[in-house]
Amino acid sequence: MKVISLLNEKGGVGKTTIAMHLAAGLAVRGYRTLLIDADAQANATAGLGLPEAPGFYDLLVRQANWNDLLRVLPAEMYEPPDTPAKGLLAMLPGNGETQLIAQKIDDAYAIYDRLAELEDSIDVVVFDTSPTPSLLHGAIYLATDAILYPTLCETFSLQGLMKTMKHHESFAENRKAQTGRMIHTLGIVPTMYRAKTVEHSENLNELRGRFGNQVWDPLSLRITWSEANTLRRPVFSVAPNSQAAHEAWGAVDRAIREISYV
Amino acid sequence: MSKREQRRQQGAAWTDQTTDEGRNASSSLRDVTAQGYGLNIAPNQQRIIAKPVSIFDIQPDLAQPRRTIPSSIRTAWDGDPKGVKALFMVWWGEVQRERGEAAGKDELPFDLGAYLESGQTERTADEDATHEASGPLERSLLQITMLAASIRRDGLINPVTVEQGKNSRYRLETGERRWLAYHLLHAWFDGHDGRPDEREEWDTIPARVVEKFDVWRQASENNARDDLNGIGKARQFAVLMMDLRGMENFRPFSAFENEQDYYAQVAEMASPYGSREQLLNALGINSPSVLTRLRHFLRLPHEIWRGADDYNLSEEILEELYGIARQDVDKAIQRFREIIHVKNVRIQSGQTKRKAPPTEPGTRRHFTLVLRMMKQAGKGKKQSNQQALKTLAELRDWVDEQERIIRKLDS
Repeated sequence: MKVISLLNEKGGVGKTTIAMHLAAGLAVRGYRTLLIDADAQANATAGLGLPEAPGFYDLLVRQANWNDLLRVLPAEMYEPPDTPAKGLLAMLPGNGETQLIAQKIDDAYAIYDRLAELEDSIDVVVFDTSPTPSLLHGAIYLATDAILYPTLCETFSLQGLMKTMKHHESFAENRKAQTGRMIHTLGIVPTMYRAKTVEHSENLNELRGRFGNQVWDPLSLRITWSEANTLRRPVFSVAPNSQAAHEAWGAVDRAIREISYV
Repeated sequence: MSKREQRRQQGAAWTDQTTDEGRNASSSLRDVTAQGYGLNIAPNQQRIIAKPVSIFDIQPDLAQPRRTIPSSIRTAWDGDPKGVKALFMVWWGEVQRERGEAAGKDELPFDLGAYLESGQTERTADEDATHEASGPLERSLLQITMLAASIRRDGLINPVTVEQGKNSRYRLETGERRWLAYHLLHAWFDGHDGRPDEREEWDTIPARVVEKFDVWRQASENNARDDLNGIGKARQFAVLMMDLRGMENFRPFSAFENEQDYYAQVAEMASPYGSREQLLNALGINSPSVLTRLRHFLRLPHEIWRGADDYNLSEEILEELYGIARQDVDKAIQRFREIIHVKNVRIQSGQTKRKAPPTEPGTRRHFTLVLRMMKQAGKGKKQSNQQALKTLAELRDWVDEQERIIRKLDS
């Protein structure tokens, strides 16, 4: 089982959208995938049309059983019309209670330990996180095998990215010392990219100059993404032949390649 | 008591309980997260809170192995904190003299005011060249200046530690450079000649007051940095050895005219049984043979001891000089003077070890340089302004040249 977290301390960079598409895409490609909504805003939960409770809080604080928490999504909610899903997509919802979790627990490895119970039944766990650093993030970092960084090619997002990477490093030290496992970088995925603007293309070049091959192909700003959110389905399910769907698959397949190295 | 208050108290008690039990700090969510985000939340209860202490109430530790102030300057000062300002003036005067002797009258030392006022803590390429041409007195002052600039810009991150003495005075345990930097800021920003008056701000320094002076703590602070030279290490070794053997068995620092003789008291002494490991760890060395070498340094001739410290001679050279001195002291001193002479000559002829490459106009690097120079320019900063004008002129030439080339293409 691999645990992937979407992190960037800047908000509004597409963490939730990428998390949903990545989880759905992996499920279509044959992985048993679990999406965990660790953001108190619970957009991913709402985005897939699920009720908010029971959720992440119940897992960590009330120590609920996984079987009572997980919701397996019907494949028609996310698979493309002509490509039946080969795997499955389960979700652990989030809600307002999520922000209280850290007040109730003091074990940095609480998430790590609970996820270990799923070792035989889930292939990939995808964490959607909130932007602002919190105690809960500490526990998420320590449970994470690889981080995927969504970012806009804009100053504030890139600043957020750099900060997050610094924190990635220091949490990695603790995890390494405690468990002997690393926190890899799955990649950096530029989102809402506008190729025709100087600002975005310059920043993308800068990013590539700095991080080279770790930077994935950008996902362009397209209205299809917003439409898909309204319909509560991924872009490749709503508009399988659209450019957005094409780019989304590019990211999913890149993720599959990278996961094999983790 | 209301229910709410009760709950609140219970909550607080619960939090305290977990820390009191001394839970493994590395698996507590609070500790781990604070650490991960680089937040400085000390987990243990031994935390000593820093309090502001007047820089004029702190007495430096004269036996401190690390010499922030070059030996030749230090002799002009009796260790009184009130005299630090005068000390800086002597120091600055000596820096100018050193420049005058070494590099010709036209070469100015670094621009002290510009550094302090701009908050600059890294040297530019051009300044690197200036730095290479500077002597030991200038280099050591530049270090203090850069530290002062960073303190003024970012604040003091790590408080100094002091030992409570008599009459509400304190003895400095660690942080001599930080303390001097505060003095420099206090002296410079005095409200004269258009400089802002920040004396109130720099009058007190955050200090942790410890009950007892600890040479081992001082040693670990010294070893945390890698720039302790051979003489500094020999001093460090001597001070720790004295602590192991009992300070009261040695004559005090003030009893010696020459500081080396104070440390040399331990030159022939063996470390107490079982303490060698501790000594090696505290000195940050891994081989007992290095101890022998440090003992040798304690017996170097006075002139070499002093000069080697100021010029930061390598331990290899010191060992070589010691070997010669064992046969013939005069020969060793002569060899030492040759080495110093070569160092000075290199300064004089501008042959530098690592000369910064010229920054070509039209490159990104040059644009960055121009922008930085513009930022640094300001009223009264003569040297910075000159440099800014120079880079601007280079850029202008480059632009003209480009214009010529393009016009040529059209005609």
